Amino acid sequence: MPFELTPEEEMVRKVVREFTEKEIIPHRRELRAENWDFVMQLAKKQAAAGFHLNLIPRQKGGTGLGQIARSITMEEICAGWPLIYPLLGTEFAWCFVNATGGEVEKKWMPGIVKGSIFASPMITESSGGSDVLGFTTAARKDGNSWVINGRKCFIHHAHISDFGMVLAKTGDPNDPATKGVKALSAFIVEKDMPGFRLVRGENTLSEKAQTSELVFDNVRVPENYLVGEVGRGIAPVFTAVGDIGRLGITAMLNGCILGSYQCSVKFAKERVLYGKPISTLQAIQWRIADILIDLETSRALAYRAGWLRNKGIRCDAEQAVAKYFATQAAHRCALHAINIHGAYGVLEEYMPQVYYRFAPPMIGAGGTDEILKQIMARAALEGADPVIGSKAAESGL
Amino acid sequence: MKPISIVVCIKPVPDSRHWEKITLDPETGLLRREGIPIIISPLDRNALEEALRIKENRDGKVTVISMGPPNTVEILTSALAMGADAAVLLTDRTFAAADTLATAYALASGIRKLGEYDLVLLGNESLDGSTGQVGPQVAEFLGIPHVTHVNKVNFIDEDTLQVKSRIELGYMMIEVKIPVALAVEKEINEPRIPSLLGVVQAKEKPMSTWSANDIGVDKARIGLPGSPTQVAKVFAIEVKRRGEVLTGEPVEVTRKLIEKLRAERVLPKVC
Amino acid sequence: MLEQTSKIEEYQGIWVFAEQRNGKLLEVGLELLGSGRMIADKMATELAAVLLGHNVAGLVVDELGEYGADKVYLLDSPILEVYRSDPYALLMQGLINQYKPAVLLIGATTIGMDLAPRVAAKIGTGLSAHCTGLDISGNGQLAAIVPAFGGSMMAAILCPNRRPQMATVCPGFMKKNEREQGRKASVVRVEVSLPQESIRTKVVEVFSEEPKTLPIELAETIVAGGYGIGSKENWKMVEELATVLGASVGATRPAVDEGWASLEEQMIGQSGKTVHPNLYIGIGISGVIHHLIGIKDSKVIVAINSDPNAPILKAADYGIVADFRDIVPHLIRGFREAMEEM
Repeated sequence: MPFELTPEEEMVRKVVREFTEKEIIPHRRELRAENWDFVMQLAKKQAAAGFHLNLIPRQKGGTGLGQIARSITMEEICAGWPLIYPLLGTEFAWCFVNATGGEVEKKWMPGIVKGSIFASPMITESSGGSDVLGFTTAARKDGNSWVINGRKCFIHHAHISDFGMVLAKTGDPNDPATKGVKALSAFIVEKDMPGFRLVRGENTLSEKAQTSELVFDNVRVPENYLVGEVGRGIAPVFTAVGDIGRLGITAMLNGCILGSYQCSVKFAKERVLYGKPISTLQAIQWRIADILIDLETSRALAYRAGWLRNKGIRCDAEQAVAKYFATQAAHRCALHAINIHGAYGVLEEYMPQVYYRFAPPMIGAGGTDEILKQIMARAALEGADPVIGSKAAESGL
Repeated sequence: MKPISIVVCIKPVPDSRHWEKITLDPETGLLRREGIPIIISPLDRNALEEALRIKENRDGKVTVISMGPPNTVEILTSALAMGADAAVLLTDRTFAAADTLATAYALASGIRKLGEYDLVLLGNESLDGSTGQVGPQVAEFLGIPHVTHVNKVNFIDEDTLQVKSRIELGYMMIEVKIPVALAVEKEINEPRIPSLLGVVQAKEKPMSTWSANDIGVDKARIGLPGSPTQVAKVFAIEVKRRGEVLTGEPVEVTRKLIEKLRAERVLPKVC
Repeated sequence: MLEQTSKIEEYQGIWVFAEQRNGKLLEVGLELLGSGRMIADKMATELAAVLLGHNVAGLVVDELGEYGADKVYLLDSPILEVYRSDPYALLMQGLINQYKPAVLLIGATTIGMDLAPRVAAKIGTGLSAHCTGLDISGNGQLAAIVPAFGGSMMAAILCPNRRPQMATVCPGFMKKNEREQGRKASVVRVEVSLPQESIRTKVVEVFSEEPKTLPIELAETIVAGGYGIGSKENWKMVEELATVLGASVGATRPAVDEGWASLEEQMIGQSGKTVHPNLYIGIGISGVIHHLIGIKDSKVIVAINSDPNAPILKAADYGIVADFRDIVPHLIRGFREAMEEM
């Protein structure tokens, strides 16, 4: 694996950083859920700048720059402000239509390339996000369509999504061929379809009303809205959760680490105590060094997983390690930043408390620490030494 | 309207956010600029933005040209990412250590080699040298008219421009036909940030590198030999101030200060 | 460089471009006559003013001679009424080729900065920009002192092998001479005749207005406030002190960004204006290099800051370590009394 970024990847950082300095940092106070118009305005500008195009190939209207460039893009933006990033939904949308193809892809691609379309993965149920076999949402074939019934919860940004990919049970409990994960299929469901509705939005530690509960009440979807094949729904879900979800969340967390690093260095140089800037105090220097250790490590893991994925190599354990580490490190570094900032660290106008609030909600997203460790353990016990390009056993999400 | 061909001269300069890292070597009297990131001189970016806007309004081509060391390709790539169609780098050891006259001569020679052009745009002055001299001098060597301190550009017909040129406390509106060279100020526009699509497209656009021989210059007129001005020495500002701190109660400090200022004869006279 | 056809020794005399607008001579031209006089005297050579315009002969008698010019080259024609680079540069080129001056000084106004480089390129000579100082050596070599890197460094520029040695000089840095009533300059009227097609621009409109306030770069006294002032309410104290002193109000970038200073023109520093007043008083300004560069040419710097370690205190002549809210009211009272006494 080359330890150098390409000139394009270097330029991505410069371009996105300049955008962040100009369009995001001066408007941090305004980027709240209550100010959704402004958030959407910013998303539009980000879309115009092509920030959502990294994973879409050139020939389909994207930049094809890949996962590392995407990681850099999200890092720089989230260092500016991490709490709301609608364009993740556009990346999910691409992933879903790419897996479905046909009419669905034709219908939604122009909007996706434009960056005005968002989609959500609709997987989690109250029975658990990773316990897919415990799902109750089911789909049955009825003529040329499928009818879906069930409930999903903790669905991110469903309230702005134009469609989603639903994981539902299609298996027959009496048929051994559809046992286990082979009971699951994935479907595209659009927001205007009758029988589909949002129940309520949840407020979390980081932001208000970003996740919702969804109800599917005899929602009828056409045949070609099946993603892939019957009983093979777990595959597109893996891709979405891994490529878009985990790597995206990792990048956002790395943005928080980068942000904690930047604001701590700046503050330490400016804050004068005992007649000198606190950057002259060894204790502060060590905390900054600790942040740097996490920043270097977390980014290296993310870029490596991204590099493997750019090459089309499946690497479930590497992705899991990257997300696990980033979640822990983002939280740690935010705490360092709060310590360095002292009382200022938890003031609304200062960034450390923002980074601190972002990390915990990411624990549940894309797999808790324990789920991720399961994936890592399986790869270690069932895979080669060293683990490169690992596949987790299919029951673990 | 028929398509327009615009050449934009851009200069690589050290990023001013890092200028405090530039040091003066006391022995050689030379500046040490290693490791400081290079950017497009800000007003040249305004010039490029203006060229792109003109191209958006009528069909045409924007070529950026720069004279500098080999790593100048970085800023030329940024210019392509912003939307320029082609880039040219004039790079050669013999171009180095040029003053504005030699620089303008080299740039004009490069522009002539590009072929037909209608408009030459550049920033009114660069971030580092800030002489503001290269624009008029390039125009002279190309044999075309120039306007400096440009804040606004309008085409009143296919070939005729109305240009707003700032003067102290006002402006002049000047009418001129292409070809012409315009030196622009920052008030003219807000330069765009490249999109990521632009970053990818930049790779596919032509980037040429020309040496002194490639453009057929008279070697006596470029670089150090072609520079009538020479820097005799560079010195850092020495601020030798008294640094005297006045102490005491406010009334006392006030009295002392006024006394000192009176003695220095800097108390303003009553109008 | 292409060799000049004449030898360096053939170039004699110090020339000053006497810029005029609307029939009024600009101050900078007179300032250049002041330093030009010094240079000419040192070289035992003649000081000439070059005046282009329409119906401007009156200026010759009144001012140029009395401010030190020995000779005036007068080019008077309707085509020169308003500045355009083509006619002005072509005529200057013709004059230089004919009369061969050793030095040509031009004020660094927008027009001067437009004209000088074109002339230098036509002649193929060296030009130093935005000089704040000039010096001449015994053998007639002009050293032009110019700022570099936004003014954090200075450079001395020479033009050893080409003539005339040209420089654009910043207004306000040179001193004009005492006006000598009745001092006469000899006049050389030069005929103006240029082919129509050599003049390629048309001036459609000229707009200029009298300044409402003195531009800060010309102010003799400045009171400036920085981020330490803290609020728009407190800023009134800065303005009051300025009023008492008849001073212009200046600001650092943070104070402008906060909206306390009323005009962006008041911003002093690397990205703002460079000032050179007799007296500069900086209040609540920490003194980062970007600001210090803008004030380094002040004659006397006074700094008021509550932080004893603020860099500005080392860069000042007189420093007061105090909360400005405690000391400025006293200064206002004290200065008011002092001014009334004068």
